[in-house]
Amino acid sequence: MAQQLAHDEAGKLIIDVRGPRFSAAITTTVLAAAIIVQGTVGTVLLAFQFVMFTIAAFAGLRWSPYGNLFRWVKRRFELGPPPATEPEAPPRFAQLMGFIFTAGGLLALAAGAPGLGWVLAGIVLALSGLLAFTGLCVGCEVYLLGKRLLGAAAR
Amino acid sequence: MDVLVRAGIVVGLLLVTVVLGVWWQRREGRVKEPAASDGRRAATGGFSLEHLEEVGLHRDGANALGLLLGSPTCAPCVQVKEVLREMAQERQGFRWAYIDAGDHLALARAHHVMRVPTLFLIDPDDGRILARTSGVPAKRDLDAVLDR
Repeated sequence: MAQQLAHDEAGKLIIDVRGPRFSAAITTTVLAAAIIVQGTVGTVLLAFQFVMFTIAAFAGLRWSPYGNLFRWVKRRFELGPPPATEPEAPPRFAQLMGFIFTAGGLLALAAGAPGLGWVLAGIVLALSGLLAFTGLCVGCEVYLLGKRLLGAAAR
Repeated sequence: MDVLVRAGIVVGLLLVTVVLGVWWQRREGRVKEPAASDGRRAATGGFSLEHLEEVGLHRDGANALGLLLGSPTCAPCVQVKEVLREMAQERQGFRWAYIDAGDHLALARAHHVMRVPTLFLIDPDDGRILARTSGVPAKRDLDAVLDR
C-alpha cells in the first residue's frame, strides 16, 4: 500500500501535487451529498469524511484512503509522472483542518444543533471545492493571521 | 428546507468560492515595485540593518538580496525557493534567505506582510526595497527588476 513513495533528502514524504486535488474532489462530492440529503444518511457521510480526514492527518498521507485511490487510478490509467511534487506537510495540515471542522460539525449534530453542524460542514465543502477547482493554498493565507492571533493571545 | 433548496445553496457556495479563488489567484506572483511617489510605501522605508542581520543576510559583496517569508506548511514557498536557487546560481552577488514568517512577526508587521510566500528584493547598499511579490513570481519578472 505504502511502498514506492518518493522521499526528499531529509527522508520526508514527497507527493504528486495532483493527489491532494484528486482527494479534494472526492471530499467535495461526499460533503456536497451529505449537506444536500442531511438526516441519517447525511450524518453517516459526514462521519465517513471525518474518518478519512482523521487517517490522513494522524497516520500520514501515505495511509490516506483517497490518496491511495489516486495512486491506483494513476497506475491503472497510466497518468504519467507528476507535473510537480510537493512536501507532505502542507496538504497534511489541510487534512488536520478538515478533521477539526468535521469533528466540530459532528459534535454540533450530536448536541442537537444541526444548523451549526451543517454550516461547519459547509466551510469544509467550500475549502475542499476551492482546492479541487483552483489548487489555491488556503493554509498560506491564514498562517500569518493565526500566528499573529496566537502571539496577541500569549501577550 | 427542501432538498432542492439545499442543492442550490451547495452549488451557489461552490461557485462563489471558486470565482473568488480564481480572482485571488490572478493576483498571485505579480511583482510590485514601490514607486518614489508612493508616500505610504516610502514611509515604511526599506529594510533596516538590524532586520537584515536578524535574518542572516550579509550585505558585504552582495549586489542584490532576496528575502522570502514563508511557513512550514506552504507548498508555493517551495517553488519560490527553487526560483531563488536558480537566480543565485546565475547571478554573481545575489544572496537570499528564507525565514519562517511566524518566527519574525515584528519584521512581518513592519513591512505589512499578510500572507506567505512574500518575497522582497532588496538593495544591499541602503536596504531599499526593489520589489515585492506574493505567491509564486515568474523568474523573468524578478530578473527584469535586477537587470535594471
